[in-house]
Amino acid sequence: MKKIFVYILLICLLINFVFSLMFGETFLSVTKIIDLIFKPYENNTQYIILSQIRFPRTIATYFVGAGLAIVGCVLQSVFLNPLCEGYTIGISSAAALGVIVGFMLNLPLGRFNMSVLGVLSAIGFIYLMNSFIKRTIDIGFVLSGVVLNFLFSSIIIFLTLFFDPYRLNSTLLWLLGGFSNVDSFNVYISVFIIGVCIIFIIFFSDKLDILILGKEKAESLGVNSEKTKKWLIFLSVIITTFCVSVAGVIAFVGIIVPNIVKKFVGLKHKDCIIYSGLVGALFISISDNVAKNILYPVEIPIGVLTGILGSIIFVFYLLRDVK
Amino acid sequence: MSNNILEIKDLNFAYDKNNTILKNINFNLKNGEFLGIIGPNGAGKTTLLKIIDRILTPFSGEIIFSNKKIKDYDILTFAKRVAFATKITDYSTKFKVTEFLSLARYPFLKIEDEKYRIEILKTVAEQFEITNFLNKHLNELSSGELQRVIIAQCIIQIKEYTKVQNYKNKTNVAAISKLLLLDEPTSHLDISHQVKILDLIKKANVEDEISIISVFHDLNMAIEYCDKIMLLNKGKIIKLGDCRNVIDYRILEDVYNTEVVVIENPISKKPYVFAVPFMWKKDSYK
Repeated sequence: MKKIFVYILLICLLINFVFSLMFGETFLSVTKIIDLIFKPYENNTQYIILSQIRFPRTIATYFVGAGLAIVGCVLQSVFLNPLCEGYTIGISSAAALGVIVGFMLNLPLGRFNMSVLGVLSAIGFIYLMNSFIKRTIDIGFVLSGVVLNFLFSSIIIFLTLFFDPYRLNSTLLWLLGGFSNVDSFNVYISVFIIGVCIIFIIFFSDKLDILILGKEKAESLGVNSEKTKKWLIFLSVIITTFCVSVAGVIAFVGIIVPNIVKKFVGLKHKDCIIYSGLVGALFISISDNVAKNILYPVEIPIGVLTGILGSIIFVFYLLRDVK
Repeated sequence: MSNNILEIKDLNFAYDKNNTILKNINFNLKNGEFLGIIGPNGAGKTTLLKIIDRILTPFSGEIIFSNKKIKDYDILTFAKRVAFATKITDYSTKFKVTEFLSLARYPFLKIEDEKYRIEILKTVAEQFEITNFLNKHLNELSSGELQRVIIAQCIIQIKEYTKVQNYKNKTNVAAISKLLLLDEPTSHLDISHQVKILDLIKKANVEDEISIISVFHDLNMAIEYCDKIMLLNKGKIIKLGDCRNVIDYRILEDVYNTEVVVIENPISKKPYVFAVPFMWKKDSYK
């Protein structure tokens, strides 16, 4: 029964993949794409569009969507709070700050280097919070995350004051979230790292089931809850940071997708993580397709679109829950 | 080899240096015994349970569980032997009862197959009379049902993964001794559910030979069901032993700071305690 849904989602992802390759500034038909795949001409513009822009972009949407949704799912269980995700507890902003500093310093190797800076700044931020609270990982962590989220956002806005107009524009577009200027090198490295982290998280899914019984029960059942939580937060930080470095700050996905998925598949994390990943990938990818095509030639920042779509979906979901 | 499942020597515990919670705790628990801990709020009852289950680390002292220090146990081995019934988190109430129960087999996850897990689940579910709502979610249960599910989960956690008969031949009984820790198993329940749950716990205690340490607020329930009673106050053991020795109105009045009367329960011939409300006190007429 449940496996059918996995297949349906995979088929949807495949169809969507083909659509994403077809539509854009120039239309490529299916036969044309197949033709280009089997007879690649390096200098052909259409081939460059396909291999340098559309393919990495689609892969990026899939992995960023999956990554953000899974991080949401994990953090919600770690903090026992259904409103947690990389954005609300401040990891995204910390990572974004790191990337912005990277922008300013003009580091070589492009965004990849900046995302490493982002990871460092996010981990530094988590460490800072931990030493602030000096207690176990709990609701205080979430609250200080919200506060520091504001702090980092303000610092980012402050830093952008010193940007020249061209960079300001591109930085703001990136901050709002979007896949419009992905570069393939960064995408492939980030996708690889996100994928590895997701596999690690799936290995943790049995422990996650135990964690949501509460700290005491978890310890009683033989799970070292503090250590497990630290590992999970570490993996979440890395995933979130690379998602941010690829696509900027995309809020809301990490809250909506896991909450709706949990409604249907229950709390078992193995299912929950896999479904969240698939649904998140589909959601972000469809949003990206809509964002780039609906108001052509203007491209809507995807963070704006997911914000609007997400809040509408979420309100419906809440209203249904009230009844 | 001693017959004690648990030996606690000179245990001290403090959350911070100025605030000692437990002072010089010394006691032994025999295998298969049912110990009830009573005492006023803040006496350190729950803290003691948490220390025994290794959730909190003691400041000083030794705790020996079936002839081995608890800190020397592997975390999973310990989990197979000792279970602690805690309050459930709001977040986990979306679990189905079956899912919730099967989580308790986590310590055995790598060594037992699915079939045996389901078998254990069924036996314990029948034992605790929860088979009717195995497919409901936890938040749909009444508090009496929920409490039965929580205790059933603990029993499932410490069930042996091979058939117990194989173990009975072995001379070393301590090797399979199990301990169940309960924190106020009957709070917020009406008397019929209180009796039902405690009957089930007592049955597990006698039939499955599980040793039990339970915190009670209701003195009379503790007196009825426990083999031994420990009275804790301000982190010290005031008295420990048979209920007839421990339940003395002078000690209780001193510890609880309330006027109490102790009479004999006409059915069990054990002591029965009730508190005297203010309006019936002799002084209140003045």
